[in-house]
Parts: sequence; structure tokens; C-alpha cells
Amino acid sequence: MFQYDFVINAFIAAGIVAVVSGVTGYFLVMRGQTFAGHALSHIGFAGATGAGLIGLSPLAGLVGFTLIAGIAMGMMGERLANRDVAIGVVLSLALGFGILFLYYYTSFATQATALLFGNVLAVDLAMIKALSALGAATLVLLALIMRPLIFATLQPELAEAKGVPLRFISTVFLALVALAVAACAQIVGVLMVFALMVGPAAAAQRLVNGLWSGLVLAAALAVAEAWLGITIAYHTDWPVSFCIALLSALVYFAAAFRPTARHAH
Amino acid sequence: MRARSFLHFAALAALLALPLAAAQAQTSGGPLKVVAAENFYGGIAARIGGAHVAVFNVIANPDQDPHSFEATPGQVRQVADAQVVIFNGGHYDEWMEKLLKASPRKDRVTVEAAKLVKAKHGGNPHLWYAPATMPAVAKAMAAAFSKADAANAADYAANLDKVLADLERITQRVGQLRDKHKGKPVTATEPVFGLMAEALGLTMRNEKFQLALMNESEPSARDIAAFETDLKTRKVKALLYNSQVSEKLAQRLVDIARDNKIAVVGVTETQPADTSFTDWMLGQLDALDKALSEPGA
Repeated sequence: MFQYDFVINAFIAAGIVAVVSGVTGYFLVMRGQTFAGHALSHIGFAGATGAGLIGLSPLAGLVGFTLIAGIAMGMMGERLANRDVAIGVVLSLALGFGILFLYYYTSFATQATALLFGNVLAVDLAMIKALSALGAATLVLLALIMRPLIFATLQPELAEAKGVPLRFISTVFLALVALAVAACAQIVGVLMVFALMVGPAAAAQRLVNGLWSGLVLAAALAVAEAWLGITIAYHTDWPVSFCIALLSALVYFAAAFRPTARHAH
Repeated sequence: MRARSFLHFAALAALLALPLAAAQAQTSGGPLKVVAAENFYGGIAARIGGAHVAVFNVIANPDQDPHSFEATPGQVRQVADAQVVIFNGGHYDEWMEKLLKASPRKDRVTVEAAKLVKAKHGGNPHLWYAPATMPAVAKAMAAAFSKADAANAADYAANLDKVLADLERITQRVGQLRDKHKGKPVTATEPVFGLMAEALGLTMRNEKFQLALMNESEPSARDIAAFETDLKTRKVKALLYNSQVSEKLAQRLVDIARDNKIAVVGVTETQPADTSFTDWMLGQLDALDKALSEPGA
């Protein structure tokens, strides 16, 4: 199957997306913010149509809108009890705006909606370059905020007492997730990004305890699921996002239901 | 213990990979490989190419919505192998433009309908419903086939003449109906038939409603009320609806039209199986003619 350029491109793109998703997803799962990741992956649509209305490129609208939503979510709810509510409100408001923009959109909206249906089998070289730049930027930014982020996640009270700006860290983190989700989704599709963001990270947290080993395992599982998913799709002719979502779920369930490790010998 | 759960997983994965469609790519020799994004373009391509070409239609199932669609690996492989690719363009089948970029190929010739007829950006993308589109696309197809396979150029030219003569029947029928029905008000649930209605000189009402429905937004309450008033006061002579899409709102309007004895004409976005492009178009034109000629209309 590697005689085809599109298969090679798909493997490269999926590999980059998997590493970025696996690593950001690990923090997302650790912080209990998977709903935020899900919401962010669906918010871009409103931005894409809205940008079309005022004559901007749909991509700019998609990324901009998702970024704003991520920042809004980060600023609105740091307290655990309010967080899901804040996300739910932002998500429904964004989807509402999407419908309103479409209502005022007096031409055919196919260009805006086409953005939502990224396909990993349709990735060209320019997209791989963009993905690499984006992936590198995400990982570097994440590395920069990693220490306070982990501190704020695991021991929020202590972190606050020590002067770590919780809200600021949370906002920067969600903005980062928003950027990664928006850009990856428009290239490989929403479902694939989300499947690679949550499943492997959650499975990794079940399987190992250490932070670094968890991060590495999450990224490795994501890459393995993405590549195996494409291979299965190639041979069965099923849609790629289905195969990857299925693998992601299977690995998670296998990890969740494995017999508990015994500490005593 | 961990090893066992991995085994379970591996067994499952192996099971899933069982139905191997062991289709390997074949290159060179054999017929010219042609891929059409939609079956109505593919049908014309098959007639122009005859036995010299093998046409693969990506969207052949009439129930598949061409706007939102995820290509499977098998379909992408067909595109990667094709020497000639025909698609609508104008953002209607943007996935095809992406697939072409993902599988670059120097010797590939593409035929894009939107470019040939210089379609307006953001305009109605159902170009094949404009009578001038298909003859232009057919000519471009014949040129593309001759370029990719010069040895059979004479056959392609001869087949093109036959196809153009056949398509001329549509143009003539449109001219006839235009003289007969010009200016009559009609309405539609979706803009699929829009360009043909324009060619027929019909007055199309409730276009805003149609856009909202096609864009999968919600038509406003005012749009729906205006539509219903048109039907109840019999301001329109016929209601065209997309019979491939079952949408509750559209279905309700069809029912209202029937209650008020307004003729309902079903049109389809893609070509139904077992019919040619010309027969498909003429059949829809006949149905519309019948509806508009009814004594009550």
C-alpha cells in the first residue's frame, strides 16, 4: 500500500496529529477536561461560517473562533463544579451562532462546511508542513507551561498558596488545546482528533502511574492506533475515522477492564 | 495479566482485518482509467470513451450526499490511479480537489465543470442542471481522453458527436418549454433544480428558504410562513422537491401542496440508476411540463 503517495502522506499526518493529540490529551484527561476538548472540536464550525459572512477565509474563522472559545472556557470556570456548566453554555452559544451565521449566509455554504470534513487520506505536502509547524509549536508551548500546569492540576490548593496563577494557567492550556484541535480537525477531521485525544491518554493513565511514562505511552498508543487504523481502513475500505475511533475505544476498554495489577508478591 | 488483555485486543484487531479486499493497484496497459466525482459526469464519460476507458464513479449511490462525504481508501486509490478525473468544482465536491492534491500525478488531466462554464463563486453549484454545462463538459472530456490516449482520438471525436446530438435534445426541449411556460411562478424545497428553472424562464419563489434547507441551517419562521402562504393561496403553479432527501419540513410542504392541489414534481440531485443523463433530464422536464399544463395550474 505504500506505493501510493496518499498513504505515505496519511501516515505522516496521522503520526504528527497522534503525538500532539496524545500529549495534550494526557493533560486534558488528567485535568478532567475531556468535555472541553469535545466542545472545542465542534465550535469551529460557527467561526468558519461567520468568517465567510464578513469575507474572511473560513480557516481563519475556524481557528479564531475556537481560540476565543477556549480562552472563554478557561476564564469562566476554574472551579470544578462550574466548569462543565461554563463549557456547556459556551458550546451551545457557539452552535447557536453557527446557525445564525448560516441564516444570514445568502450563498451556498459548501465552502464553509467542507472545512469540517477533513480527511486524512486527502492530505498534501503543504498540509504536512503546516501540521509539523503547528505540532512543534504546541509541544513547545506545552513544555513551557508544563511545570505549573502539573502543579496546578495535582495540588491546586498548594499551587494557589505558592502563587501559581491557576486561572491564567488553565486559560493558556485551553487556548493551546483549542489551537491544536482546530487546526488538526480541519486537516484530518473532527472525529479522528477527538478519538486520538481522549482514548489513548485515558488508557495510558490506567496502565502506568509515572508522568513521563504516561505521556510517552499516550503518544505511542495514539500513533499505533492511528497507523493501525489507516492500515485496517486500507484493507477493508471502511472510513478511516471509524477504524481509529474503534481502536481507540477497544484499547481504552482493554485497559479499563484489565485485571488489577497486584502490588504484593 | 497485561499480556492476556493485549492478546484479546490483538485477536479483535485481527478479526476486524479479516475481510481483506486484496485489490492491488495495476498500472499501464488496459483501458484508460477515468474517475468521475458524480455519476452524471461518469455516464457521459463512459459514452465518449466507449471500450477504451474504464470509468469509476465516486458518488454513484443516489442516496449519498455529495456535499458531506468521507472518501474511503478504495475510492482514494481509484483517484490516485486515474489518468483523467472529472468533477463539478465550485466547492460542490471540494473533497475531490483535496484528493487530487494529496495524490499528485504529472500525467493526469482534470476536467472541472465549474471552470468550463465560469460558474460564479458562491452561486448555485448544481451546474449540471444548466443546459449549457454538459455539452461543454463533454467536449472537455473528449479533449482530455484524446490527450491521454492519442491513439483512439478518432473514436473519441466520433462518440462526442453522438453525445452532443443526444444532449441537443435537452436544449431543444428546454427551448420549447420556455416558450410555453415562461414567467410562471414555481417554488422548490431545495435549489437543486434552480439553474434549470432559470433556463426555462420560470419565476422561482422562496429561494431563501431553499438555501437554508440546503445549508442545513433552519429556515426562519417568516420564510416558512411565506412558503406556506404561496402554497395555500396557490400563488405557485408547481412545487419542486428533492426526492432523494427526506426532510420533515420539506415533507410537510409537499403535503400542504397536495392538499391545495398544487402539482408536486420530484427531482433528484444525482442520476438514478438505470437511466442516461438525457433520459433523466427529459423525464424531469416532462413531469414539470405536465404539472404546469394542468388545467387548474
